[in-house]
Amino acid sequence: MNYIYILFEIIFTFFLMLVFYKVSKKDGLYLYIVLMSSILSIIMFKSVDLFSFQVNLGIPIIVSLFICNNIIIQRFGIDEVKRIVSTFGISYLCTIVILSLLSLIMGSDYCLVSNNAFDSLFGFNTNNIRISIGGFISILFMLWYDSYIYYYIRRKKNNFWFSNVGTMLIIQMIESIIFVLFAYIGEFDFTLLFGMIVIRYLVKIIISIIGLVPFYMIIKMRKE
Amino acid sequence: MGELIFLLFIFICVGFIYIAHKYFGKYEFYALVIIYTIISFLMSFKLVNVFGLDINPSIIFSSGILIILYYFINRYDIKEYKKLVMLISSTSIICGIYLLSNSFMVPSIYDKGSLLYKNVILDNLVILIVFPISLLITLILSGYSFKELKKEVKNKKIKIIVTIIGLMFIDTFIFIYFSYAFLISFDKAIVIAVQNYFVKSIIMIIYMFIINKILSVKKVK
Repeated sequence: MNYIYILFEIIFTFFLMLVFYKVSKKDGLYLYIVLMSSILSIIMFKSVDLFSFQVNLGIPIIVSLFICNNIIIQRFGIDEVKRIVSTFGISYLCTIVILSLLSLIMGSDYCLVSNNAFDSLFGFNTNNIRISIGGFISILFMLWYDSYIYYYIRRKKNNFWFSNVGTMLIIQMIESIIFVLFAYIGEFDFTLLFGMIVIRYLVKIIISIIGLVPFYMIIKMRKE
Repeated sequence: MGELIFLLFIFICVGFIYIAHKYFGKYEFYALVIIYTIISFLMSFKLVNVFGLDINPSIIFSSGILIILYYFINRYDIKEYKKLVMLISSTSIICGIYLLSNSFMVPSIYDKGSLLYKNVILDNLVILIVFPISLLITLILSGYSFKELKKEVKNKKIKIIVTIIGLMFIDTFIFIYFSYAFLISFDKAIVIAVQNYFVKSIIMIIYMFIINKILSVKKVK
């Protein structure tokens, strides 16, 4: 069942990227980053079972952020990297910090169950903080490096299929390692952590390859 | 503590609008409105107790959204205002779709958060459905009222206050009353709705006077 939902999320996420680009071009892509970063910050806490390993939600969104990053670098150059990274960082942090602060306010006596659930889900506990910071650091730094690696490969060999796949293979592996180690080290044994990294990496690579379709469509839109 | 955080949220909400006005342009406002929509959507799942009242904290940032709408109507043309309304509505729907689809996914055996996620999202399904609808209705009505207010010259402050009181009545009673009537009970929901109406009207009036001051501040960009 999870595979169907993931597939739906992949299609929906990439469809939104196309819509945002179609409506507002470059600014649309930035607004897309804002939207996806904010949503990502709130859905990462849940993890689902994929190929018998634990995987955090939001992988299609993470991959779409990297593809969006590559599109902006491809079209508008490396100077955009600061704006991309700051857009992601501010949106992600604002959303999660404000929602976490809300958990400090005492809930009403009505809706006791959902109030407590909200506090536990977004509240300041070790697990949540580790997942939030892990997601923030891994994506922020990898977006930064992704831009430079993409730009470097593109300069060496001007083929966007090659630069995309090359960048994804390197960056997604490092991102998976940083995130899983930061969020879960000490909680699970090494075998499980290794499995989580591998599955997360493989799922992201598959989604990245699917993501080449919207990438190609957006680049083609420019030429038209 | 709760009261302080509540006031801090109001300060943050206005503070970001001020920064966006002074140092940035139109697209930063679009970005801000996306963040506010997602925050207020998520906040709507909690009911807090501050100042002895049961308040849905989403009213802070949804008031911020309405104030940005007012700003856009006073500063930009009708096309931009329509674009803003479209963006807010689609953001809330997109956020709702993601929350819903994720809550149906089968959790991992090690996962501690899935039951909490279910309690927050699926047990409050009414809020998930009513929030985007009420937001859209309020935006359309507010947009129309703010456009008419822009033409007014005489007794503008009083007219603004009356408009806000009217708009907040519709907004609060569509969202708060219907949501909590289904979640708790009809008689308790009316009490919660009245309390939220009172607080939201005050917040909106404060925001409105601040935004009129902000509009007169010279932009850097």
